[in-house]
Amino acid sequence: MSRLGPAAEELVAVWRRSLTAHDEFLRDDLDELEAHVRTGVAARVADGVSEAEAFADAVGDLGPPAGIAEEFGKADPSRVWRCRLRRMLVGPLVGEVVLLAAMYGGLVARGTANWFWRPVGEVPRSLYSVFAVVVFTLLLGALSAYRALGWLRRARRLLVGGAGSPRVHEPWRSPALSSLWGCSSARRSSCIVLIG
Amino acid sequence: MLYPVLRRLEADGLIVSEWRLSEVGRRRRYYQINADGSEALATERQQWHAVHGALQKVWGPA
Repeated sequence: MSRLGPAAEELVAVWRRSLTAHDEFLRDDLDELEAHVRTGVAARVADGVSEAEAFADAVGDLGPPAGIAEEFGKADPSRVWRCRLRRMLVGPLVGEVVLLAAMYGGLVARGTANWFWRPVGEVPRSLYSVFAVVVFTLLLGALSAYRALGWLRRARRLLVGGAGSPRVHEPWRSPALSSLWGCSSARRSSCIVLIG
Repeated sequence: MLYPVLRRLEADGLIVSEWRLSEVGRRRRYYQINADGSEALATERQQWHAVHGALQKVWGPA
């Protein structure tokens, strides 16, 4: 996917995050909506419009995240519940995997320690603790690295975008557009259908 | 909005989609109607023509 300017990239990222708050979207849907917005921004920029304006127009054409989610929900009502169920299951499953990894990691560490220590004699109990610490540190390290990657991405965006944090403008929350979306559900739906 | 409708058609097995790179290097999702979709379209079109014909008989030519 070709890149926009740093400020527009930040806007697209924030907009996409606002969509992820809704259970109606799958990752593929988000990719497609993002591609739609990017194409819209690029086309408007090619016509001489600034990136911020182009982004506001492109996002404004799609409507507010809640409205888009409503349309996706109508197309497949069971999807919301499938997403919620998945979200409910993923947390405990990840917890189980971490616990099992820690448990079996500890057993493997103990077996490895025993094997290496065999010529010397009985393995000191303190060594088990050292291996346990190593295993837990590795697990925590992996989790921290995952978090750190996200922070690095944000930091890179900030650095590429210049000094200081770029001010994030959210045009779908602007009063002008809110008044349009504040219309009745039927009218709003018809607006969205016409836009779609 | 068009995307949810496309999603539904795809879930119903009437169209297929795939992500491809466009000429300008952007990722785009391309949709294509399949045999089942063509059949469903022909049926829908036939029904529409039947309704249209019936209404024209009632109202007469404009």
